[in-house]
Amino acid sequence: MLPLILRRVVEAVITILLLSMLVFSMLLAAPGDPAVSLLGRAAARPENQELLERMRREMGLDQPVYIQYTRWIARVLQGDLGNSNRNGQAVVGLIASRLPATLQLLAFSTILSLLIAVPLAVMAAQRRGSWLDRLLVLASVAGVAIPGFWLGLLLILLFSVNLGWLPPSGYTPFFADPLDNLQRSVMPVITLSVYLVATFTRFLRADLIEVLRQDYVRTARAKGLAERMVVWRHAMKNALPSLWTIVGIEVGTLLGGVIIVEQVFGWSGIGWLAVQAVNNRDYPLVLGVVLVIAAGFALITLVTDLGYTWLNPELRHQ
Amino acid sequence: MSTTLSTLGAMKGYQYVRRRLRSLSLSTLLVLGWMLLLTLMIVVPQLLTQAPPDRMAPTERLQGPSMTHLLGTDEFGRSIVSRVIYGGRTSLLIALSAVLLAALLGVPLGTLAGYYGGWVDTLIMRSQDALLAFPAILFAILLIATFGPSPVNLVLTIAIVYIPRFARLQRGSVLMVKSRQYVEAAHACGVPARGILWRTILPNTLSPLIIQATLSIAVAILIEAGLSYMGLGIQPPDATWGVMLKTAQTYLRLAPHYVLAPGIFLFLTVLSMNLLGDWLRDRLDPRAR
Repeated sequence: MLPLILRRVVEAVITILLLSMLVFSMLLAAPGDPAVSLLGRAAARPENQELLERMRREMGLDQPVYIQYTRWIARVLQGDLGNSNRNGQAVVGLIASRLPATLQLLAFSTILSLLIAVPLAVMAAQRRGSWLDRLLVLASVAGVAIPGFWLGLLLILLFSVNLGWLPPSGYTPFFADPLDNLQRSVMPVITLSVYLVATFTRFLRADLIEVLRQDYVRTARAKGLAERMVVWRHAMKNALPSLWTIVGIEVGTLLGGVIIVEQVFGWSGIGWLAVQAVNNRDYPLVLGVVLVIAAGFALITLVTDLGYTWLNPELRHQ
Repeated sequence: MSTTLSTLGAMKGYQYVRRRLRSLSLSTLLVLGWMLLLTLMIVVPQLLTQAPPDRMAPTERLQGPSMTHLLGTDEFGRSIVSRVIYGGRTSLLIALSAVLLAALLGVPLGTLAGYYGGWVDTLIMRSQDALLAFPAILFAILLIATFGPSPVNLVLTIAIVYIPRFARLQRGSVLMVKSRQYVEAAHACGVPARGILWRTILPNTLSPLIIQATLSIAVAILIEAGLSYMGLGIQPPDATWGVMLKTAQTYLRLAPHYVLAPGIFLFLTVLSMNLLGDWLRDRLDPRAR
């Protein structure tokens, strides 16, 4: 099993390196000269041309591309993603201050979706072809197709504008005011969860239907085990590895979805930060956020792969 | 005599169509109906609405649905029906062009990787995997941040997101088809590699590509709408469903109807594309049958 783990880790590192090259090439392709943007309007004055040249040299902009990349990646590995164009703050600090908000949304919606989707999928698989099953299949088809940000707007319309139960937007850190934080997280979490519940239910239902047909399930029933035991102890064990994989893939997809949902609810996480940065033309910040999210995505993929290996006895004992 | 024959032929054609339509389920018919509406929106939008999408009427701002304005008016008094139709046209054209471009680039890459294998395969697929390792929306944000928001950049961005998906799928199909006897027979007859790729392998890999394209259009529409909603895609005063939803959010209290029409069109379009993809899979993919 160890060589397999090592191979996955090496693959993840290579992916992150390739991603960093891609991000760096965007940095080069970006319009505008970093030295000019640092100097601002003064860069246009003829007497400042020498200063501009010196700054370019100091920033290493006169070096060949591969040396620029090596220096950049060395700084990134030391946790230095540069400073924001806008206010000069360290990009790492800005991202770190917004990360908890995004992680909260991801964690809450994943947990909530599993709590809803697993029992639903079990019910649908056990009563295959019943009206309940058909209703759930229909709902999951609709749930996958509904655009998250539109759903978010409908929730605001219902719960904030019409009923006045929840605040329409904004974010309060959990430790500043736990109640307000939770209240504000209700709608974003529901918005993200609808897609997840639909996807999880769909996959787990199909998987369980397959598993419940197996001989060992028939044996378990034949020896008189309660149906609850058959499903939750025996069938679920075999459906778990593929559910784990789907959860991993979808949480990765969620990293993209959360960017839009944060925008809808003014939830100032890193997705919100990214869009602000694009609108402010704050390039170092855009690249920093992109790199962090992409690395997070690679990490989730790695953990998913390793978890799958561990959950699947055939692979575990290799 | 000939007139009678052709009338008879037409009758048979009509009956045939009617019989085929009867054999379809209600949901398939609804999906096909929605597709027909979308096609009309693209080809002849002026047939569906009389009002131009950019005609302002300051005295008729943010009105609810009425006989003159079926879905009401927006913040400049423009007809929402007309903006939904012309905006949808833009969204659909962007999504269709992006997916077409992605297929045109991804399919040859995948074909080469699958057919030749070895270092060609490694080189192509590794670079594609790096692209796949990005969440689509994030990659789009990166490209838009670098090159600026414009319809062309939007098409290119969404296309780049989809190239690896087509390449990967096509590589798999080619690997499977390559070992079939008819391909070996073509080899044995001395057909050159290009002929085999074009005439023998490609036609046999079309079904999964068509299914993938249909499902990709659905996601491409969502990406375009999402980017435009965040202000990173199509810019006002041009309309797309995403742009309209962004503005509608500002007027949620004053004009709650504004948020419904663009969203319903977006939702039904994505839903019917997904259902069409599933339906095609049932018909075209022998493994799913």
